[in-house]
Amino acid sequence: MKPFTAIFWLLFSLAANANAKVNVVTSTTDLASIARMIGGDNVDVTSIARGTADPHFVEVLPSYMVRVQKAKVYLKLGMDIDRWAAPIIDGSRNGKLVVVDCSQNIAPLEVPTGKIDASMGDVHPHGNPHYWLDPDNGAIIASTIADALTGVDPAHAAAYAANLASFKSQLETHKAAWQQKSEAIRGIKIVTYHNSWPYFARAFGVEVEDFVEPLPGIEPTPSHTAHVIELIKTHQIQIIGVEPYFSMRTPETIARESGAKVVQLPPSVDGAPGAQDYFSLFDVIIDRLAAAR
Amino acid sequence: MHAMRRITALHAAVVWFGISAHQAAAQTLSNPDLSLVGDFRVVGRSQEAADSTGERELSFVFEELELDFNAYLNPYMRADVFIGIHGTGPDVDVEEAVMTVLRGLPAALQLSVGQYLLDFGKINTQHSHQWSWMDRPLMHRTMLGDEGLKALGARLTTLIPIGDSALGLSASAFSGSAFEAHEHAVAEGHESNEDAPAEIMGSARVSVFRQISDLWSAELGASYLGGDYDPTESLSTHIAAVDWKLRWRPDSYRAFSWVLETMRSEREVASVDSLATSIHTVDAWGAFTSAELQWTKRWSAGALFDWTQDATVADAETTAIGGFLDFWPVEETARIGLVYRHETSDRYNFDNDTVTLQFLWGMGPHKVHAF
Repeated sequence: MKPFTAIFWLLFSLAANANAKVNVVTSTTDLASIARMIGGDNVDVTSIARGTADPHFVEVLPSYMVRVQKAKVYLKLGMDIDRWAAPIIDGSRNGKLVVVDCSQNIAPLEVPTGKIDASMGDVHPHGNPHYWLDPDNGAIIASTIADALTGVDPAHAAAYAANLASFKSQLETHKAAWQQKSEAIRGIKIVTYHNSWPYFARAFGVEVEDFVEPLPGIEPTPSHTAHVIELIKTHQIQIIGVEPYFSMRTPETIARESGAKVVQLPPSVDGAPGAQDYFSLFDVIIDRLAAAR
Repeated sequence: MHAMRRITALHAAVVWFGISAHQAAAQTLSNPDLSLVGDFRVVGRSQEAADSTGERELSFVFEELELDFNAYLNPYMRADVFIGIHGTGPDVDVEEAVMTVLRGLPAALQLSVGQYLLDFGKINTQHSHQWSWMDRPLMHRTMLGDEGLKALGARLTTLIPIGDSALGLSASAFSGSAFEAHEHAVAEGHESNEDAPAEIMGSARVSVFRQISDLWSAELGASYLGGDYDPTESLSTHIAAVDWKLRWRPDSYRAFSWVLETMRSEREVASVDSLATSIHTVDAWGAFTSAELQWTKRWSAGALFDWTQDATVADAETTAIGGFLDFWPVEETARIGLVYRHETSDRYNFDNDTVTLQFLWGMGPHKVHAF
């Protein structure tokens, strides 16, 4: 090969590598949304779970494996909620994949103490895993993702740092707006189907009094349903929040008997119309709670 | 004194494996995942079924206790061990004991070495607790063995993206002793020399998986296995299978799945008469299909059709039809199943009705099963 041709191909391959997008696969749409904001034009991001799907239960499909096979980075929720990610990652056979646990720098809530077992329901040993529903944790997730992208694609480190700064700045602006908007829901007492909301409740001053499930992951029972109806009447609770992947049957029964309103609350991006990214997700949740009050 | 013995044993382990005492101590913190799956059954049979099987009309059956050990060995490899303890048949049975190189090989290959459920068709790769229809399909029992085909050998698999689809390729080389182990392998009267070394057999499977939409998935597969299964007479077998699975799962409350598998077996069989051993070939077909609908979180129901020709006896066939109902009382860790099965065979002269009530439970972090 002539020296000129060799230099041409070297420059061409360097340019091609510099322009190649980092392929990122995430467990959920929330992580995908934040990754898109941090990665910008330098990343291609897809999520395994749909926004309307229960992140605890995702089927392990070969199509997910080949998607991860082509990825450079896998962003998982961690804290035992997306255990299904392990067989997908193993099935991908991708030896160069960088797997990032986005919960690594989170201060978890509701970490169980002492021995835990299945008699307590589907208890997560590392704490409640729905941590992305606190905007402050969103900033931590964004930093974790920026670090991961910088690690695999140092050529665009400056872009990732700038996007992270922009994300945090936008988040602060949104937080100010959400705080103002959430005055309408501050201090309200609600019942939710699953224990998905402790981080959101702490961030926005909502009090979650009880759950439609008698224990995490356990289907409603008649005796517990009767208890929840009584609790709603006694405490004058106005709202029953239901994640989009749970049946409305028992919540509607409770609402009929107690006078409370059933509100579908999307815990994830794309879980409801209008919740198309991480910021608008909080708008939708707050707006739905405020409207139901 | 006992403590000293333990320390000496630990030291020996450290020297033997060439690992540091720190690593040895750290390994106690990363024990393998341990799971148990229990399968207890109450079986009711018609008088004719009781007579033809030699069982009582009502019996309690400790079908299986499956012990699973699963762990990563290092960042590239994992080991999976499944041990079945049975109330009937062999008391203890190593269903799988396999080490897999998960990543790091070229061409997205995975290498498994040990004993494993052979990638032949779709159903043979599954453990029996995954089946709502409970019993192994008839064609598996006659063509592969009462417990399916567990290969002792090595397997290479890969997964190739083709657009939105996934092309799966798998090839195995395994000991023919897997075939000798089951009673249907050779015709009555023929005695294999058990000391003869087993031949090496081979198998391959190609499958295409397509996610049709967010809710629908389908997989089509074709498999072949062949080789000498009887080293005494150099008897060969060739089996081909086509499998299909369609799945719809819109949410965690509703699901539908349809599986279809068909097999063709061509097997050389030795017959013994007073003068000599003669060898002839038996051709057999078999088919199994089942459709299942889950309509709430706790309930599902389905139907099955199961038919096979005998792999070693010409002009003998068995047919079964049935239905099943599953109930999860709380969540996925416990299941109560009910199966009705009507099984007939003109050649073997039976017309059996069986009702089985199954209590299935699982404890521990048993991994989710792939599609």
